[in-house]
Parts: sequence; structure tokens; C-alpha cells
Amino acid sequence: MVAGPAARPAARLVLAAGIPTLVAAVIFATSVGAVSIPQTTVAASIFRHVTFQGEGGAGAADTIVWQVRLPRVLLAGMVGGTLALSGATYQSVFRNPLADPYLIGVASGAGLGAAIAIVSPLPLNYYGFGYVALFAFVGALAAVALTYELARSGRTVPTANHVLAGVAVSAAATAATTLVMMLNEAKAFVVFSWLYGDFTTSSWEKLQLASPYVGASWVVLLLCTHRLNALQLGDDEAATLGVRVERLKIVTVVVASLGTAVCVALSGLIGFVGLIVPHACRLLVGPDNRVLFPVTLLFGATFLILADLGARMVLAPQELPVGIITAAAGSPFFLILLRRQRRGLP
Amino acid sequence: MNTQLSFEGVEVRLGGRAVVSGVTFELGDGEVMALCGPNGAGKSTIARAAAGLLPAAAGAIRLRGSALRSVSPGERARTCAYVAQQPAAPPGFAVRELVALGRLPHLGLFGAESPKDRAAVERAMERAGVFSLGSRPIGELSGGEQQRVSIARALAQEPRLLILDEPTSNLDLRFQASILGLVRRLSRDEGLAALVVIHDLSLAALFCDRLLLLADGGIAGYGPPAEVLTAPLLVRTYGTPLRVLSHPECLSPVVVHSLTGHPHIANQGGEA
Repeated sequence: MVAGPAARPAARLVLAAGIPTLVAAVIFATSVGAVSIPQTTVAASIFRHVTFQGEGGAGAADTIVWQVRLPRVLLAGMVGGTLALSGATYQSVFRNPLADPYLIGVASGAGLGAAIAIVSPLPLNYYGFGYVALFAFVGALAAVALTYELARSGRTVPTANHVLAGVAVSAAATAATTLVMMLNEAKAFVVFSWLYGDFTTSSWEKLQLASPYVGASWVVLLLCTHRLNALQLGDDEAATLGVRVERLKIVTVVVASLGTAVCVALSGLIGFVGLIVPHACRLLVGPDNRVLFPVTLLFGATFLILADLGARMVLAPQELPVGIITAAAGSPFFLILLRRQRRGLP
Repeated sequence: MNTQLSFEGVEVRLGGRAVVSGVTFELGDGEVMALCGPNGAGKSTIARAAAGLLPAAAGAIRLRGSALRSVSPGERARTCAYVAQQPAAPPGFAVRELVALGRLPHLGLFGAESPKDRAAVERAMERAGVFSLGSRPIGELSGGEQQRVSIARALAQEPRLLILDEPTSNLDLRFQASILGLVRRLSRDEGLAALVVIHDLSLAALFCDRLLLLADGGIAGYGPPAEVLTAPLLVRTYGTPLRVLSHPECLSPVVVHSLTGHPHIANQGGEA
């Protein structure tokens, strides 16, 4: 199952294929729904809008595409890309192939922070998005630090310890989140429906609010890829290659946690994206983060767009939380990785 | 000849305790220095301090004449390469990909490799004798091959100074000879300075120009191997009976256990 380095398709080819694949996924996901809209109409409508050729030329279809479906599809893409990129970052920094925002407790910590913000008297409208994201960010950082400290033995952090500590921190954060909900029954349903991953309230405003943070996290992480490569040699050898190891770790973990926290604030807890996507991409393009990170970003976006489409369509007209779709795909994947890890395979 | 590395009365502390102190030596272009001594004498500590991984608590470490602590990490990485005792074999990396990591200090903001970088990687692989392994996963290689790959990664940095921490300790006799032969050749042909931590005194005596013998964090002896490796000094340093013979082909010192004092290590009970 391990694709040897010689069997890898040209990494740049995969990277190049990622962009049209993502565009196709966006158009396809936008065309499917209660009202089916031909893909050509979708493409034409998007083209008109992005080239500023006026609004509303095509009436109802245009409204559905531009006001209803496209924001949701793009938000799912943004969250998917960010979670996948954060997962790839944690995997690199902790040298732990099982690190995922969900598995190492970051997402649950962010969830707890966000739940506290939601039930608090702080205003919960679009202007309140800042509070939810801020609390989620603080929760994410606290969880990542706590997990790391719990798992540490001396100067090393064994992979299995790290995941176990993540499970413990996640459980504690989830329990605390439940408590927060119980104590605030009035808002419990808001927290609950959001917690399991929800893109139903997507809008251009949400995208606008989130994109500076998310965009900044992408740029910083993509600029650190070659240094993160060196980290795979171990801290000492990375330091002798000119990497300021502690600074690199702190910057990338904080930035990845910021991205995760914004995603959690936007759409709740969506697990396993950060695990499945980087791993699948690594099998395709190899371990070089300079290629792996952009590929992961593109395919993470594509993956969550399709997962959200599944969430909309499987029980239509009823909607499933998208977190259930990703968990259904991700947990068998995780178990396979765990077994391989035990046998010392990549 | 330029001095690449110098220690002047260096003390290194770990957890508040002075692990080595009063260490003074110089290492110039084309020189190979062996760092020897009993377990816990501070060999790896000196290697790590020389690589900039540990600060000097007292004294001065200089890299090409400048205080090591004032040299930027990038500049240091373009001058000095270090291979740890247990070189990493990160899963999923092919040999060529691992060697290419050595180009990091030469890459620009976006980390893209130029044709010059790719040529340097190929040259490093050729010199370390791992060119034919290029696309093999690093995890599949033997210990000796992995060690060579790590040295190739260090050579891809195009350093003037190479620091190797126990490069031969896990290798069989053939790989020991091939790794040390490689270091010797690089110093002779390219003027590379090398600092090599090594346990085996006889092997050290064969390939190094100078030998630094450590005992309890201080210098017990420093100079050409034939001058340092004398029986009385070694017996004192290692606290076990030893004898020094001459290599039958080149008169280089060969250190063996003496049976006088502890005959029980011999299979004949020392009576022969």
C-alpha cells in the first residue's frame, strides 16, 4: 500500500490537477440541490459575478447560485482546506502522523471556548463572530499546550501518548461543553446544532469575516514549509540547518490553531479532515511539505465541499451534520493508520 | 590554512552542572580531529557545543574567527554541518529527498530549489557513495547506508566543517572503514575540517590527525594520536588495564586490554 518514491506521480502534476478539480467540485456542488441547476448556468452565473457584469441577469437560478449555494460551498471549501492544512502542520511539528486538529484536542478546546462565547451575554450576531472566534482560539491554544505537556516524557513526545492525551483533553473539553449547555438550556440547541458541523447559516458576510484570519494562516504556513521539512530530521539537526526550532514550532502551531479556531467558530467540530487529506496527499506526492501543503489545501477544500454535498443529499430534504460524514470516512482510515504506525510503517 | 573552529577554555553546563570545562583546541582546514574518552566524559557535549546546539557558559567558541554565538543560524549552517548520533530516518522520505534537506540554508524565502541546489545534492550523494540509492525509501536501508545518507545530507550544506557524533558506533567493520575513509578523503581532497566523536581508540588513531582525549569533562590529552595514546595515560583515564601496541603496517598505536590485573576477561583464564 506504500507508494514507493519512484511510483509517485510527478508532484507538480498533482498540484496542477488540484486547481481544476477544486473548480469542478465548486461548480458541481453548487448545481446540485432541491432545485437542480445545470452546471453551465452555474458557471455562467459565477463568471458574470466575478467579472462585475451586473447582478441578477438570470433571475431565480442566479439568486440560488449566488446568494444561497455558493457561499455555503465556498465556506465548506475554506474550512476543509484550513483544517487539512492545520492537520498537515501538526503532523509535521509534532512528527506524529496521527496528529489532527480533532484528535489532539485542539478542535474540542476551540469548541469549548466557542460554546462559552455563544452562551455568554456577548452579542451573537455577525459582529459577535469576533468573540466566538477569539474564545475558540484561546480554547484551541490551551488544549494544544495541555495535550503536549500531558504527553511529554522528558524531551520527547511519543506518538501514542500524544493521541491518548488528546483523547483525554477532548473528553474533558467535551464534558465541559456539555455542562455549559446544561447550564444554559435556552441556548443549548444553538450550541448543539452548531457543534456537529453546520454550514446551513453560510453567507458572504461570514466568508468576509473569516477570510483575513484564514488567509493569513495559509500564507504563514505555506511560507514555513521548507523549514518544517528540516524538522523531520529531529530538533538538533534542524537547528544545525539554520532553523530557529522553538520559534518555528510556536509560530506554526499558533497559526494552525488560529485557523482551526476560526473554522470551529464558523462551522463547529468537523473531525478527521486534517487526518485523511494530508495522508492521502502524502501517498500521492511524498513528504516534501513544499508540495504537500498546497496540495493538501486544495484537496482539503475539495473533500469538504463534497462531504457537505453528501450531508445535504444523503437524506434529502433532511440534512445530516457534515461532521458525521467526515467521521464515517475518517475513523476507519484512522484505525488503518494506527495499525501501520504500530508496525513502523509510514 | 584557516582555522575553522576553536575552543578557548570552554565550559558547558547542563542543568546547572558543568559537564565539560577548560576545553581548548583548534581545528583547521583539511584536519581531522577525533574526540575520545570514557562514557560520560563529555564528548557529545563538545560536539553539540561546536555545532551551536549548546552555549558556552565560560570561555569562547569561535567559528572561522567569529564568536559562535554572534553567528546567525543561517550563516552557521552554511559553514558547519552536524550529524547526530542516531541520524533520523523520517518515514516516507526517499534518499534524495532527505539529502536535499541539506540545502535549506541556501534556499530563498519560498524554499524553491535552483539547478545549483539540485547539482549540489547530486554531488553530495556521489561523494558519500549513495547516488545509486537515490529513490529508495530511507527506512529500508541498512544502518551503514543510513549513516552515509546523513553524511550526504551534511555535505549538501557545502560546509567547511563537519561534526560527526559517533558515526561508526553501530556499524560493522566494513562500514566503519568506509565511513572513516570517506571523512579522510573529504579532508584530503576538499580541505574539509572534521570533528569526529569516536569510541574506538585504535580506529581513531588510524584515521585522525589529532586526538582529544577527555576525562571527567576535562582534557586528559591532546595531540597526534601516537603522543596521546600512551598506556599510563589510558589506564588512568579509563580505569582499566590497557596496553598500547604498534600497528603492524603503519606503527599507528593499537589499544588492547591487558590481562595483567583482570585475567578473567580472557577465555583461557590468562594462564597461557
